[in-house]
Amino acid sequence: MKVIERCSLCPRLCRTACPVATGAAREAAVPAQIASAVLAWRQGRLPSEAVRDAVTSCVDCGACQDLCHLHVPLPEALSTLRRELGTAPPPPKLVDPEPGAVLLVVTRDEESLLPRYQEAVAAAIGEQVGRWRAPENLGEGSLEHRAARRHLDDVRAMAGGRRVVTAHRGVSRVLGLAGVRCVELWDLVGLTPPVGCGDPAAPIACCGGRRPFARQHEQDAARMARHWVAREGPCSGLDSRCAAHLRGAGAQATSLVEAWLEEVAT
Amino acid sequence: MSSEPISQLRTSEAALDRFAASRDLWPGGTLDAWQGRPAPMPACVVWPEDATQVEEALVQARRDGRVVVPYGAGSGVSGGARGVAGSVVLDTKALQGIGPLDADALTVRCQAGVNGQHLEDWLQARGFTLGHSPSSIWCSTVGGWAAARGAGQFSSYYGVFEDMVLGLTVVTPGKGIVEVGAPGGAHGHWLDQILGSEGRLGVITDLTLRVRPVPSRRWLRGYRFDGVAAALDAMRRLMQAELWPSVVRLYDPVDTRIGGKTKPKKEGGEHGFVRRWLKRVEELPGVRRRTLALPLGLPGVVNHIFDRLASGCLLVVGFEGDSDLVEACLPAATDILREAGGEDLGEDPGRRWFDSRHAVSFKLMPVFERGGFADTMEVAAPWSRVEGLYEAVRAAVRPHALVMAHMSHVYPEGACIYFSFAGRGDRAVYDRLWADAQRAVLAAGGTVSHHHGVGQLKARAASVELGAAAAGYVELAEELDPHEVCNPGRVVVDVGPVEAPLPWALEPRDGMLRVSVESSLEARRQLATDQGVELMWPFEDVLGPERWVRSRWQQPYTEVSATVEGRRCVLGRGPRSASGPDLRRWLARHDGAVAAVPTVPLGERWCARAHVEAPWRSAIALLRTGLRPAVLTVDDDGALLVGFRGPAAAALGAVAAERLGGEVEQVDYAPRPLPSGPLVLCAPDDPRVVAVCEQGALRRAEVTP
Repeated sequence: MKVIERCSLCPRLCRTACPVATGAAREAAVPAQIASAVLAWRQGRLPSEAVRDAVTSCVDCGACQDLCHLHVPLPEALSTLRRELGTAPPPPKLVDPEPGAVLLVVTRDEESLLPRYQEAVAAAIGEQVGRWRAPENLGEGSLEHRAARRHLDDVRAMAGGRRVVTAHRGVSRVLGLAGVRCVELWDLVGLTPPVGCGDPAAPIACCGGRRPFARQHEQDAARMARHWVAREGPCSGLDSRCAAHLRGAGAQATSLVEAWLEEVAT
Repeated sequence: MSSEPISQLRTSEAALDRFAASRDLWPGGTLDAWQGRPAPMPACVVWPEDATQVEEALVQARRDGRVVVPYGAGSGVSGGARGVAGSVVLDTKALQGIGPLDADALTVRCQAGVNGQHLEDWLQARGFTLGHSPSSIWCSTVGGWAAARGAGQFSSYYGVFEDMVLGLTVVTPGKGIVEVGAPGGAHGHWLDQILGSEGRLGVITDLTLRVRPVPSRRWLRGYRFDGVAAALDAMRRLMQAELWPSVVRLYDPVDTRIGGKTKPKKEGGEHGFVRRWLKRVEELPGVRRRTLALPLGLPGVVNHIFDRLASGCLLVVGFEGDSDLVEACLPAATDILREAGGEDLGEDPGRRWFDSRHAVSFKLMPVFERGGFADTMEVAAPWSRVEGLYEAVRAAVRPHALVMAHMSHVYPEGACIYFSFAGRGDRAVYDRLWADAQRAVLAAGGTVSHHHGVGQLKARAASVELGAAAAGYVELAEELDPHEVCNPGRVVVDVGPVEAPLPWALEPRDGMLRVSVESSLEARRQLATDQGVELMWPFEDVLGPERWVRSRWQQPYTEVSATVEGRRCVLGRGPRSASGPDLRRWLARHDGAVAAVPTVPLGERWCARAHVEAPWRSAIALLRTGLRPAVLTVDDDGALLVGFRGPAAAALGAVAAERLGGEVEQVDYAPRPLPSGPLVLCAPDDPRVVAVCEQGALRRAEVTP
């Protein structure tokens, strides 16, 4: 409550760092405004529907906390609220991985790159690589769901002690929380990590493609992508989901995996 | 919106969006919210993406009988964007475009909803800066800066926000989409009134702004003075020496003491035993909300204690820009500071201020959290009245709250005082404090607003200050918004007939001379000579050219007084006259108009003739380095004439000579008239060029009979 009170009194300086408030141009998405809405809801001045709308407007990139001179942990407080309010979608049904000493997680946005992607990773590692299809990015958007713990146990069990390779920050986060040995592609082949999706060094910390935000606030997500495209122009070295999202907004966007496969091919 | 929805215009009637747009950052509203009194809720929020959609929104609001409250980032602290029950909030943040940047003309086009820091980041990535850096830069929009006439922390070099605006697009209920000012706007005379109108005359959608190259050198240093009077004297001398520092920032003894600003930061201070212990106590249930209740409940005692503890004040001085120019100014500047009694504290205080210059906004909320309220008030006056104004406001506020001040916007003719106060109580206490403080400002001859806008909080006091001159604003409002659709009840309210007091006497230290607006340049020069000074900017006409065809530092006048409908009005009581829109040009058309024009003391001068191939082109190039010559013209023989005044004249002249190259011959200094009247931009090799400004060459407009 202290965090919510403090942020609701703040002059809302965090708006400059917030990708949603900027890209969607929505006042209600400014982190300090979300805190004000939560306070008003607790005081009975806003309906719960409004506060659900507010807390799910946060993509949990952490940019507001990085900017805040008082380092108020608002993202953490909002995450707790989302759990309490049950705003996260349930975990997806997991798909059994293929056999292999090493598993390569393939998200929906990366499927079009197969089988080149799988072959290139196998060649880089020098071992047999099995494909592991990852619906909903292996349940990235469900981490705040009450069934998340059980889902993570399932992920760990399916990985079965094998090394897992991914080029996706969200998947990497799920694997990390599940305690699975995760190798990020960029480390494996010596590339710069993908920009966006919570990367504070990125010009805009999120283009709106992040789950479950992109589903719950579809129009705002589209506006964020258009804003990114207008300000930054062609983008490269992105997470595959960011690249797909930006392409949907008309951008020339290349994912890290696409760029790497191009490089491998030449 | 109730009737047929506008196609394509994004609209929300969701409770969350209406709630978010219901409150700006006026601390009175924050106090209300904190104490459980909600702000009035608007009916809906709309997000137009261009001027046409803004126009559609205004038309529909009028049809629905609703008022429109423009809302950028809602950072106003005077209630200018405060919610109105049942209103349509027009959120400008979807007006997000930046560009094009014209690197040759040093201009950028930008839409009103762009976040200030985002514009600055965009410009810096391309090697330019706007130079406008308010402490709210992270939480304010470019349109808000224009609507409330903001001023940034480097205003003494880059100017206040209206000095950066060359033109804008405004959408008005009465006249539709209107281009004002440059480039090519037909309604230039409206620019002064639309800037500062806080959405009352229409909605600003696009702006053309001046930019500068990113400075290659920044110099910052702290000086300690025994008291405010000595420091103010140093600041005045610095500003009247035509050195154009970027930062001149004085903290009064209480502010200096509370901020610990003259002492090096203690290592590990944050983790000291006492602090740790206090933090733990604060975590106890119910304690945090009352921590400051007792001390702030005894403002008289607390003010007295701080007065006893305080000793000395800190002045932060900064220069920035072209490295050679900064070096040329520093010897003269440091001499002035030393001679005025300043003790050099080195770079540390300046660096610390620079690094934490946006942090001040984070300091207010802990006061509210702990059971108090905090607010700020910015006022201004000519140099001879600054100290009196400072004491008068302190005396008025001290019975209600702990008060401290800093002076961070200075001009050759005066300064702004920025009071910060913290008190305890409800809105009645808060309102009493403001009423007493504003009465004190008016009685001491100051202007009630400098750069925070007027909004609802200061509307009454500002209207008293404007007096009968408010008719100029009402006249335009009737033309642009005859049905009062846009943000009514802000800036100007009816306060009945007001007669301004006789203009206060000017002293030599004010660096101003009162002249009839009708007076000839010759008569003004003679008057200046009689008083042993020189006109700072010898414009042919007292009012000089319009804002967008003169260099930003060439301010032709400060105070203007005249009689309107039989009542005396005095505008520009302090530098800049920011109690609402600038009505001085309008007032100057009335009976018995008198203007206070800036002067400079006689002293060191440097002047030279340069034989260069393209003299006007060279003159523009000189201005773009950041040089601000007193004389810059082409003489009858086609030679470029360049002159500087003040203690750095020779040093600046040497830089100019080096940059010009070719044959430079030193000559006697002789100020040349500066052209007034309708001027327009033209090519530098146009044979009709009569002057230059930062944006290029100027010729006289061809006036159609």
